[in-house]
Amino acid sequence: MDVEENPSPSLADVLVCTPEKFDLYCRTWTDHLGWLSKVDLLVVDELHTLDTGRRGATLEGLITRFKTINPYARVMGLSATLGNPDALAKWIGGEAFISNDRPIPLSWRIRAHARNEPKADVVVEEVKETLAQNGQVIVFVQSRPRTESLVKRLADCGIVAAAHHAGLSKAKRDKAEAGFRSGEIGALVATGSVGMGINFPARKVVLHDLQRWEGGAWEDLSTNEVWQLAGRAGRRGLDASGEVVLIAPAWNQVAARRYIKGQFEPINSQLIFDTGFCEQLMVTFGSRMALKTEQAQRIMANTLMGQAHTPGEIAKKVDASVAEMVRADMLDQNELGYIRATRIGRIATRFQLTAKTVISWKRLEASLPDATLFDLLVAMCAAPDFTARLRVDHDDVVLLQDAIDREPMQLRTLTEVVRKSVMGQSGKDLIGAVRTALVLRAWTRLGDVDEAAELFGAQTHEVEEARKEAVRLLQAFSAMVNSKPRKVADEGLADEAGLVEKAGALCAMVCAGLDDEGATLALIDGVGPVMARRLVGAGFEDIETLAQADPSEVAAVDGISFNRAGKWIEQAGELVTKGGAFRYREVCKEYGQTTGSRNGLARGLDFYRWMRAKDLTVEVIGAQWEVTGGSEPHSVMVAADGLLECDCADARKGRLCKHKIAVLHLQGDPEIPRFDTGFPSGDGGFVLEEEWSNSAYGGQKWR
Amino acid sequence: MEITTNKGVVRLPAYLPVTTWGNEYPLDSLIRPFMPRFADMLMVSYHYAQEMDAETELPVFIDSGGFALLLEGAELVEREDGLANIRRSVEGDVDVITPEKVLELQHQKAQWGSTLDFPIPPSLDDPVERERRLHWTLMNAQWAIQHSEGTSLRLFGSVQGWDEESYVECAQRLLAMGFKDLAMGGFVPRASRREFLLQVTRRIRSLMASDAVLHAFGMGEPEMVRSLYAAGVSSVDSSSFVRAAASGKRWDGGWSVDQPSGLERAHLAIGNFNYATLEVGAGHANGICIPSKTEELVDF
Repeated sequence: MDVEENPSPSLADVLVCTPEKFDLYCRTWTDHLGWLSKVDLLVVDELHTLDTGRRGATLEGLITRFKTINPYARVMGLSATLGNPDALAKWIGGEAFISNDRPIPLSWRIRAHARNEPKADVVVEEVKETLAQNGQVIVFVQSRPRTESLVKRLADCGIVAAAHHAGLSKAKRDKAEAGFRSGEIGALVATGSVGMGINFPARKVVLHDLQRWEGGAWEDLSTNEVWQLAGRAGRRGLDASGEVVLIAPAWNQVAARRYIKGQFEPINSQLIFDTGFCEQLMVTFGSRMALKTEQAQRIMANTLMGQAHTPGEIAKKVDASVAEMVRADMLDQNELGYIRATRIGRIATRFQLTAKTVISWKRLEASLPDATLFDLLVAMCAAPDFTARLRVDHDDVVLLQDAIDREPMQLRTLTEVVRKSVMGQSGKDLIGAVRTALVLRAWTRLGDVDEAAELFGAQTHEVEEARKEAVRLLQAFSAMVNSKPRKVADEGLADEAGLVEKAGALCAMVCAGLDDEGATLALIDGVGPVMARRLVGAGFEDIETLAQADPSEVAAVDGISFNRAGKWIEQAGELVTKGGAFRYREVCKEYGQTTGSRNGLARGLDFYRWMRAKDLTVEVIGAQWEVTGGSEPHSVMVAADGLLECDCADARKGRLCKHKIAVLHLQGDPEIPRFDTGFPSGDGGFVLEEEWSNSAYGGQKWR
Repeated sequence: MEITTNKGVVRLPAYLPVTTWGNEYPLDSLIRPFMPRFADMLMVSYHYAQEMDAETELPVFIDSGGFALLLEGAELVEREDGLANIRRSVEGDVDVITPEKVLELQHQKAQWGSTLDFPIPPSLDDPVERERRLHWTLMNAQWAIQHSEGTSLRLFGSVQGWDEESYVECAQRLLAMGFKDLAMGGFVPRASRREFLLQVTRRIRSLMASDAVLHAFGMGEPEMVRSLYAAGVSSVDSSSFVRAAASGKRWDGGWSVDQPSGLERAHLAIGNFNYATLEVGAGHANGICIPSKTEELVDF
């Protein structure tokens, strides 16, 4: 029985579901004991996923929970890539059974590419070769954008190819799969994560990348991963053997050769990381499987992690984690020692937060009730659970200092000690958080990841990873702050947004690259960050503009019906009368203007655009200026009203764009700070140079 | 020997786990779902059977609830129509157990049932009262057997007594009424008099047909159960495996558990039950971790 179709599994003889779904049943075991008690065999497919982050920790917790509920059932784990089958068999209470039999043998080949030879050329060559022999090819890459670029490249060579990754809509993925199965598509370019779950083989599998960007560094794929992908090669009954091609640099073949030997890595417990351990411990209390620490200790001792540790060590870890979670209000312990998960605890579990982060946020709320958007962003990037923090070099400090001095920020009013306790970080880790926050803030203002990344010398993929992490933590923070009783302010009069609203707005901003005004659109029910961005792109830059719009104009935007447009406009009107967008505009104390850049210094001079303008070249061509050096050249001219006009998208939104700034600078406009003197600096109570000398990188792993 | 019921087969000799419904013993609701792995039938007292759901997978033996007569505030009430009730008042609330109510519930929910009897504890030394209880035990039995003819309920005549002769006489009279199967009560307070109980059992068994079932209420201690089986008992019931587990005790001599959780208590209890049934050689309990059903499933 497929549980998606029938919510009551009690009638089924065989239940097929994802680990997450089965875990839901195990977490609510008292409601499902009637049938869970009757399960005789639990088959865990892809047992090696035990060592993949949160999914792995969940699977380990799930198997442990199930065995706690029903110790009479047998557990059978299946996998093609286990480095430590005996240890895993011992844990699940079984025997290791190993077979090297493969219905279709694999033939491995390393395809070297020279330094000056693009890997895409190699892919084209390999695909052509197999297509000529009536075969099909799956090309595995490690990034979503790469799937698209390779597909384009293959198409340019006349090859019918399709991309396949988790970021595509289901319809697109289904179409790609169907096309591949029917033979219409010769090459499928997919990300590895999708490769695991999908079972359509091909004559040849090409691994374009043997490394991936993870936790701020390039990391070799594991042998297990490579073999999982390679396993798609060879179609039963059609191919004599499956071909696996590893693309490796000519100057370094060691890693690639290592893969072919097939020495699988041991599968290790993910509970050794605090995030996983905390979550699984929370679940044991949340599900009422344990009511006291002693009981939880016994359950945790039965995990895979417990195999490698003594019960005493596990007990110590449980005690320490419980104490910390009680301090963070995630657990509540009464005088008899009975423990309950709190609402905050459940939220933390949902968003995968450890107690350390929750504690630092508690301090943040208490010490900085009027935290600015930037303060919040730094706090998110500094949180112990933020896994995509950018690194910093000493060379960055001056640039970063310059940038933060311009940000409205309460952090600088704190003493160093308080700042450390509120942020949960200090020294280089805190500066790393600042750099990450600055890049993300630039992204919210510029709406362009590449430009934001370049401003602070970061890589686009780093920023992308940081963006996702910031959104996760902001959602968690909003949920957490929202869960506490607050003083209800008189909404009609409030002109300053509270922490919850700020976190919500910031979340929309970071999610879709919206500025302070654009984020106000996300206040409307049914308008998510992505839709808000679409509205901004169509010229409805904030809630006030939308409130005054005509439904037919709004309905002209892709994906919005006339009916919906009407409702949104009505809601926008109501929100505007309550305070609306103005509530999010932070007044920058230094200059008395908004950083939202509409009416600011020098007709809305924005620091980030000023920074970008420095790199541009301005040429006078007749009555206009040709500005180059950005992604595309743009023309600036003097309009009828005597003001400058530019043909870029930014200017069309009424902003003082970087091109106009460059022209004004060339004209020697006194309101544009000279590029060689620097932007006017604030007082800067938060001195990064001091932070730098403060400490080395903390003990926290960079991931 | 096997007895077929409309909910499955009961293999003899059978060791029946006692279970309850309601909020009084929440542990039972954690244990019960696992019992089909280890037992063929459940024993439920009349009192708890009232809240029992019809969904129970295993066949059920519902006793008469006559045990209530030993509780405070309870009395035997003779009726003009030749039957007797148990009337119990606790703080103004009056509860009456009648032969009709017992039989009706058994018809509704049980595969096996026993007639409403009146226990005669060893401490009761008034000969008139003893005779009176035995008399009404038999009167109720007579009525019940007449009212369950042609139904699927397997009705056991409840045997009471205070010495060997009174037990045997009671059994003889029940058999004479037409009862085939008998259930012996009053054994728990006489548990220390092992030889006496075994002698009573042997004599009653000798009166019965070879394919008749002889049940001994409340007997669970493995050593005693073994002897009772040898003396001719076909089935026993006990809740002592749960009581031991509730305080974290294990019968198999393994490590006991400090402050066990609900699930841990449940599995301790199941372990104790399994140990006891294996000990007495009742033989068909499935060993922990190697359920026979599973073996069939994955035999490749």
